[in-house]
Amino acid sequence: MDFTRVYTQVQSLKNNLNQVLLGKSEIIDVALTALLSKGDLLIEDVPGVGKTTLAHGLARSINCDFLRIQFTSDLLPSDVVGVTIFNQGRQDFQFRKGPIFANFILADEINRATPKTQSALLEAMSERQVSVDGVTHLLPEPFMLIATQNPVDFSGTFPLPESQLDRFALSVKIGYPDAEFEKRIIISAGEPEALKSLTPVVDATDILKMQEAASSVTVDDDLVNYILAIARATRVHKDIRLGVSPRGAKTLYRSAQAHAVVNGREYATPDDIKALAVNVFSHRIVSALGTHGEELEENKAILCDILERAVVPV
Amino acid sequence: MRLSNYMLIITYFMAGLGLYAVTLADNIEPLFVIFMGSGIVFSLVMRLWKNRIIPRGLWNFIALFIVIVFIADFFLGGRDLTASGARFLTILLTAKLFDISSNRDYVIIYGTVFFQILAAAASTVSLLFLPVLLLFIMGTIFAMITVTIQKEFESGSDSGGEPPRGLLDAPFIFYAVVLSSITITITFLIFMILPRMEAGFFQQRNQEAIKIAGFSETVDPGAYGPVKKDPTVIMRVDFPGNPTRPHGPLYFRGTTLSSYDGRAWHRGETKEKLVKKTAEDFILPVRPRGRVIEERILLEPLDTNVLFTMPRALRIQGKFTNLWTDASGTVYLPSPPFSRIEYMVWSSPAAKLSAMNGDLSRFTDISAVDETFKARIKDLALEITAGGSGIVEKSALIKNYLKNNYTYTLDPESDKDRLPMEDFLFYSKEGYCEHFATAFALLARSIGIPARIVTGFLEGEWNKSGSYFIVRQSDAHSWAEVYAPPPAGWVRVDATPAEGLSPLQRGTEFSNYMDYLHLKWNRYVVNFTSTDQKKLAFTFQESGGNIVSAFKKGLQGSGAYTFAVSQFLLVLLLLAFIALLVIKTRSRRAREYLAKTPGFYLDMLRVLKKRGLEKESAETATEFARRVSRPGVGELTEIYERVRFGSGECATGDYRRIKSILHGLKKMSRRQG
Repeated sequence: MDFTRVYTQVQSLKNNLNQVLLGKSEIIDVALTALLSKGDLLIEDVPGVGKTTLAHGLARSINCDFLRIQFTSDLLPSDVVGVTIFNQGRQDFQFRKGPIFANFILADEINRATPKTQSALLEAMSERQVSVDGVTHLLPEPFMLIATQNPVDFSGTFPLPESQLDRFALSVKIGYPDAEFEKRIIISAGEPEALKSLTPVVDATDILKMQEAASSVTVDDDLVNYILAIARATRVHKDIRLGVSPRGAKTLYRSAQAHAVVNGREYATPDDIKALAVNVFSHRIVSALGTHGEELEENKAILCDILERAVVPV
Repeated sequence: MRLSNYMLIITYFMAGLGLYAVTLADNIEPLFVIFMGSGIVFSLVMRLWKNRIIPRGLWNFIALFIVIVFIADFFLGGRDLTASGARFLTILLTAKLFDISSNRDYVIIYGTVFFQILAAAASTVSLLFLPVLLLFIMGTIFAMITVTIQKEFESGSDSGGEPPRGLLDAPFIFYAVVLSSITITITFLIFMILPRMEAGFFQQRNQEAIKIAGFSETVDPGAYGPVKKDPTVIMRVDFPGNPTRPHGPLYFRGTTLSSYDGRAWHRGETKEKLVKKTAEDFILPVRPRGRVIEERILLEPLDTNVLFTMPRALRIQGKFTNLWTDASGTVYLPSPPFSRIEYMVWSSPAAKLSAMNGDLSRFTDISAVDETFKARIKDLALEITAGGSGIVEKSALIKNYLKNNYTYTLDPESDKDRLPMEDFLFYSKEGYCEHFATAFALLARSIGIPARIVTGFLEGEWNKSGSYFIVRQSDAHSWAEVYAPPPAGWVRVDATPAEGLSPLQRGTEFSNYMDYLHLKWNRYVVNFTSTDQKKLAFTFQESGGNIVSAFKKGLQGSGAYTFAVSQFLLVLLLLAFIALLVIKTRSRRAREYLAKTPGFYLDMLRVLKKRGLEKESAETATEFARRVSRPGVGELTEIYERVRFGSGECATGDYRRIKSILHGLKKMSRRQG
């Protein structure tokens, strides 16, 4: 495994993204972690902080297909996965691939779609395939779904069901930039210009190699115990109604591996786990406090509380 | 297994060992042992049920009570310090087992066991003591390791006083045992192969010569007597060919004294000649008769150059440049020995000294004696020997007369106005060997029997532990020899009554055992010389050669026995090889385990902790490094993470960095703390 090559590529990806998303290197790390761990990313934030820019930047840096689906309440599953049509000329049914058959999908405002459409994504997310009319179609590799949702504007939205949330590897909140960076954003030529100037630094095969490198990262047994301790703590915490599933714990494991590669290491450290635990778990747990609209913040606070207690292996 | 369980097991093992050691000692009643044993078992049962058994504060009163019991036991129970001490320690230990609450208590218990074993050592000659001692050494090493681990983990807050699971499993015990055995073995080996100096600075006069008053080259009756009470060991004699006690009494002959000046005896022989020397031995001009006794003598440094032997030494073997002898058969060293010497003597007790040629008159000379006293002696001699004829018969009569009519005492009544011999013969009639020997010689000479005085030592005390005689200063003796016409020659006549012949100073069984250990220690440890090394090497070489030749023979089928032996040795080698393999794989596994948290990182944590910078348990190493923000901490943390979670190996350059960073941190903490 050529780690050196992987690190240089990761580094150039980071550089690219830093040009378009100013002052958010941690968010970029999380996005790359999702990419390298073959996970899907959920970006939750108010409009205008760079959700789409991040997705776009990622797609433009990689020489891959990129498609954006704007989710609306009248979007149908077939609009996403594709539709079988009757070809009159050839006299048979033909599958016309939907927008999901691309390497990178930006599912913008995913919670605006109806549950039926949302669930159309389930199979794609967990199995990297879609089944239409009894025929299974494999999605291209690499495949990554980046979904965004607005946590403030709830009118006319359908909250994502737990089962679907659980399939997102990581969730991230971009947040407002620092004043300094915001000023730079304001005076800059504008998003499209920056994005347009980005050139692809890696291609699909490179990404596959990076993913392979990530899956070969060493994770000490004690770190697995650490993951386990955090995951199990969410199940007994008094403020949590629904704890983390084993899938969630496994995702933290794989994310930690990817995070190590993103940080130029062949081995995971407790920091990888601690840094990602909130991103991996915050959308998976259900708080018992249940303040409407504040769930995400509550979940993060609870997780931080757990992390402050979990004994870090030395 | 949990550390506390280890502590418990090792502690009760040590307690059991201590109790067993005490049973080896004399004067300990079985009932007491049973009672204390049940106490120990009871404390174990209680401990498993409840952590601290005796309430805090009560212990001091109990200890005080035990001390009072000990004092009472000592004064009422025969004032035997060893026995009461052993009982005291056992009670103390048993009571302490009910009061373990800190690491100090464990150490106190091990210390008590140590003293129990000392007490046992002071009163046992049982060979079982050796395994007990070895087990104690092993147990102590093990216990100390456990206590140290316990302390370490108690001081580190992260682990909550418990070492990680698996640390104390079989490999731990295995290593503790293997390490202690290796240590003992290596110590032994180093001792064996350490180069020895044949002669050098340190061997110059390392011992003060014993001022030998018990044996002297002049005998002056009345001048001493107190020497008979001196227990200083002069020599030790064993019989290599025959470890059983020979039939006594044995006389170790020193020198002969033949001229009497009216008060004291002096050496008469002046003509000394060199003893014939062969490659290894010194051959004396004595013709053997009857059985030959082989004796090995270890002589302490004395201020005389007389070499003691059993009578009629035929052959002497020792590290002497040369020896001298005279007509009386006395053997002399060129100079008094400055350190302990060891020599072998082959002597024939029945052999005769070569017949005197020439004038015997100097053996009948009592001219120095005052005339009236001489007349009284002669009258007495004639009176005694009236019924006898011939030298042998007359001598026997004089001897019996002295034995029967005179009293043996070390503190004779003496009258300053009279000569000591006059006092002995005609007034007080009490004295010790010098008096008896002199009186005999004077009486014999007065009637013309040639007689002389011989000084030397009696056999002393038989040491059962080591099968040898301990000859003390107090065993110094003098007797007489008379010259009977050929073929008899010089014959020993000891006129001292029987009570003067038994050793006055006796060691206890224990002191004899200690003397034996001391002897062996001196022989094989202190005086383990290059010669011994050579001998050992030669033995190995020889046995190695034997094995090879035996193996060859075995292959040729010419000896079933040697073949079996060589096969056995082969199997032994194979087993050793397998054991080595097992140890190697085990050690690798253990190393993998123990290497989990690199020591240097723990060191850094300790150094920083001293400065009040303590890593929170939920804090990652990087977070901690960022918080601490001291030079080098970040770098060290990076190395630590690479070693701990990555490859598990440290690059060579890392070690130097680690050392200098730790050094820098320590210096800083000292300066600022």
